[in-house]
Amino acid sequence: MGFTNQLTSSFADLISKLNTFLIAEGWTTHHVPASGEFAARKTPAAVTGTFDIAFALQWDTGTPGVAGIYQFLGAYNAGLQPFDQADDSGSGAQSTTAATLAGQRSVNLTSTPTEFWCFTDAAGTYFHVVVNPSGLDAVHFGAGALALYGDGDITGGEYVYGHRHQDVITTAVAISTGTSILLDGLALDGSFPIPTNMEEIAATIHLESFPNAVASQKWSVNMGAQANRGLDRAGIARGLNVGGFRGGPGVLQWGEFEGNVASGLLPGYPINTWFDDLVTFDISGPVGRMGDVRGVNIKNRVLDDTTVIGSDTWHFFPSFRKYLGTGPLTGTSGHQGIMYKEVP
Amino acid sequence: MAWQAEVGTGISRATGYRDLLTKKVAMYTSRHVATVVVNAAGTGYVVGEVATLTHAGAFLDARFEVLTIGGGGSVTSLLIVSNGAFADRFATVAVNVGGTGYAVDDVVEVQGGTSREKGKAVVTTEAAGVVTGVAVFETAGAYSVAPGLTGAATLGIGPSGFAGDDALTLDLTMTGVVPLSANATTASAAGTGLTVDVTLAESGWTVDGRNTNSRDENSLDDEKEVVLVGDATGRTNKPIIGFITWTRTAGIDTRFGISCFGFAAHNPAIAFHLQPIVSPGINTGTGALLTTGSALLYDENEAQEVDFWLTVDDFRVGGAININSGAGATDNGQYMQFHAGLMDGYGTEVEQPYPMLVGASSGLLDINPSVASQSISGIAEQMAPAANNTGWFYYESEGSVWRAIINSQALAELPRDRVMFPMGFPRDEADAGDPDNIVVEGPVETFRDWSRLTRGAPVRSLLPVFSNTQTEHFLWPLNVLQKLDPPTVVDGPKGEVRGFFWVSATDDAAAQIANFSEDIVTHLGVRYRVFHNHVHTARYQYIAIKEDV
Repeated sequence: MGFTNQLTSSFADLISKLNTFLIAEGWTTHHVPASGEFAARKTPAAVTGTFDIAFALQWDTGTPGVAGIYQFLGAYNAGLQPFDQADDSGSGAQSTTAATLAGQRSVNLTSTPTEFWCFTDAAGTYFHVVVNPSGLDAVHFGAGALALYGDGDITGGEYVYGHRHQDVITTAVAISTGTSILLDGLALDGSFPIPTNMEEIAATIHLESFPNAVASQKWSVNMGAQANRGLDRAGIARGLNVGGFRGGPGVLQWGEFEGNVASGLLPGYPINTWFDDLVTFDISGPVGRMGDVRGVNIKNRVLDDTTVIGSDTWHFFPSFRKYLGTGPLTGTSGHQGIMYKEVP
Repeated sequence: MAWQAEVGTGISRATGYRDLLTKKVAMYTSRHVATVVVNAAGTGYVVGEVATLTHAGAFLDARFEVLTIGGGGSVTSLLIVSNGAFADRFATVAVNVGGTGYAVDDVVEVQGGTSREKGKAVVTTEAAGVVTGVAVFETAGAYSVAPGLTGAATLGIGPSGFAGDDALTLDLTMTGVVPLSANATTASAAGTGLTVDVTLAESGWTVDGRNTNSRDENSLDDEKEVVLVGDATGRTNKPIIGFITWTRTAGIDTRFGISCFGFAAHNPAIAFHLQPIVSPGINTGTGALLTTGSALLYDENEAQEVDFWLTVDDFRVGGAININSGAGATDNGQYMQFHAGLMDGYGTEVEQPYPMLVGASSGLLDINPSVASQSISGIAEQMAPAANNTGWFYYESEGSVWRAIINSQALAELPRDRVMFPMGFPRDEADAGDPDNIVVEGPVETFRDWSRLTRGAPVRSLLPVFSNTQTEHFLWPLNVLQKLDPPTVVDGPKGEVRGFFWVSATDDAAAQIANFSEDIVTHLGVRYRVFHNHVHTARYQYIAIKEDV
């Protein structure tokens, strides 16, 4: 079965249950709670080869809650820490301290998350996790391989993402550039309270040999267009992918229909990513999309609403905290939402 | 699903605007080759050679491309590249009883039989109003059961001053339908001896009691008027479309065209313009064609043969014509586009009973078809001049009203209420304090970066999907979107245009592809034919139409 929804009693319980589920789904995992380590890897078939989805977490064992998130290539080396694996993307703090971890790619699961959902597909080309840390909030993290367009004849396509929600703002709460969620074409450096290192927080994608890539380039950062995209752990510059959940070609045209009681038609738009050639500024693609995930307006939805479309069951979540109609927008994500397909 | 391409000399291209409509109707009401397999493999064939299947009942021939060959050039597999239009039609017509009151060029429709289109005959000779000679006219019908072959009754349908007594009866012979096996073909190169087995399928449209040659337009009294209904298998609400031919005189020039219409319902007993909820373009009081509408413009030199490409299934029809077919390089082509019928809606038939899209490249009738204008725009661009509509409309079932689709008026890049994705952009929740302000286009915008509603230069180019081995053009599905400000309950996506896509004319090296029109983009083994918008060859002005063979 490619889906699970379980209650959790603690951070440790969440990771343990996630580990058990992914093992049952054929993922190779590494789970050492005493060291604050978790990793998952799968190599599903691609159109012309094999994907290598490699994901790792590091948390502060003394203060579990925030988990640093990492992407690398190849089998997990249990002799190294999660953030020091071979061919690491460069995003995610090289630390075991909660405060430092929170400053780069990470997800705040809190110490007592309430419930989680994990979505995978039969081929194991992704696992997408939604956690309810408290109340009616949702945080999102995961890894996968893009559903590639065209003949799929590229090297790469694997992605990893965490979740940072920009708080402390009173307007445009859902479209702050200080937020990064899923593959996010809107994440961008800014001035306080928006971080100045969003390239270390945004999702990464393994892509090689794309136009005008630097020698030995393996990684691309999916975010808004900015010159500083940081380096991978080997010190090699990273490329840029644009487009995605909150800001990308086609998103504005499809992303703001609300659905209503008269007409329930509500489009869930695909989350596509394009490669941005940093020499010519031309765009290639789209390269691919996140599998079985859509952006959607959840004005008329609540946490874990489900809808059957055709024969598929889709689950709806706020991107962080749905605005409930009264009071200020501060701290919420408006009516911004994500829908995930449940693969039985 | 059927596709027909008539291109180049020696092919059944359109020989005039009325002939174009006749060929379209033939395609819609006939059967087409659905499958083809090799019967006798022949010799001397080369890959890419085209084999033509014709027949007395073929108003348009079917064509097959040789995909693979064996020893000696024997054909081992074929691809249909034009499905053809086959039917049992009149082979000959002759006078049985001559009637009275007839004149040369009177057009009569033969009654009886079972058909998707009744056959017509034209009076060629008469004596004191008694018909003495007739000839087959237009398609000669598309019958599944022929009328009585001796003394078939007729009904006068043109011109507008028809004065015959309808007593004319005719003797008929029929063509029969092309056999299903061992059909000889004609090769385009040195191959010989290939025979094929075929299956036929209905293209799925039927004349809905109106197929006349009696409309008065611009001092002519015999313009065509036809209404068809699609089978739309599985639906209760069938698509109903109509076409009217016309001319307009502008100084020493005469302009020719076909106006396209959609209907919410159709009663053949009442006039065209009195039909309930007809799409824009006709005065619903007087019946005169308006100066605006959905006009498929023909060349001002009507004698010029025109290449055309038709796509048809039982939900919708569409395609493109090149009114500058003699241009040589396709960058000099002048492509007009049209569509009539149902889109693929986003709800059930109860929720979206009638997602119709009707339109053609020109929103004006009396306009020079060869000169760039804001009034002439393609299905993807949807440009209109100030205070006018485009030539494209969709049917809003909730309000029982036809709505204009406009991406841009007077070259302005502004959000609009009803647009065609991906070049158009609807209104957004601009208010930062609104909880529905949940997305932005971001740093890369479809409508301001790699396409421009100003018809200006793009800011950047959209390259094909990157691949290490081949070029993969991404095909953007065309979708009608409505979003008003403030939002309304009928906002939402209205439908996807089946088989029509926007495509970027950029290659892997970021160069614009020269002469991209009429090229093929292949995706997952399916071919899509590329056309630019009228005379506009900027790299974002291209669409691709699926060759749904």
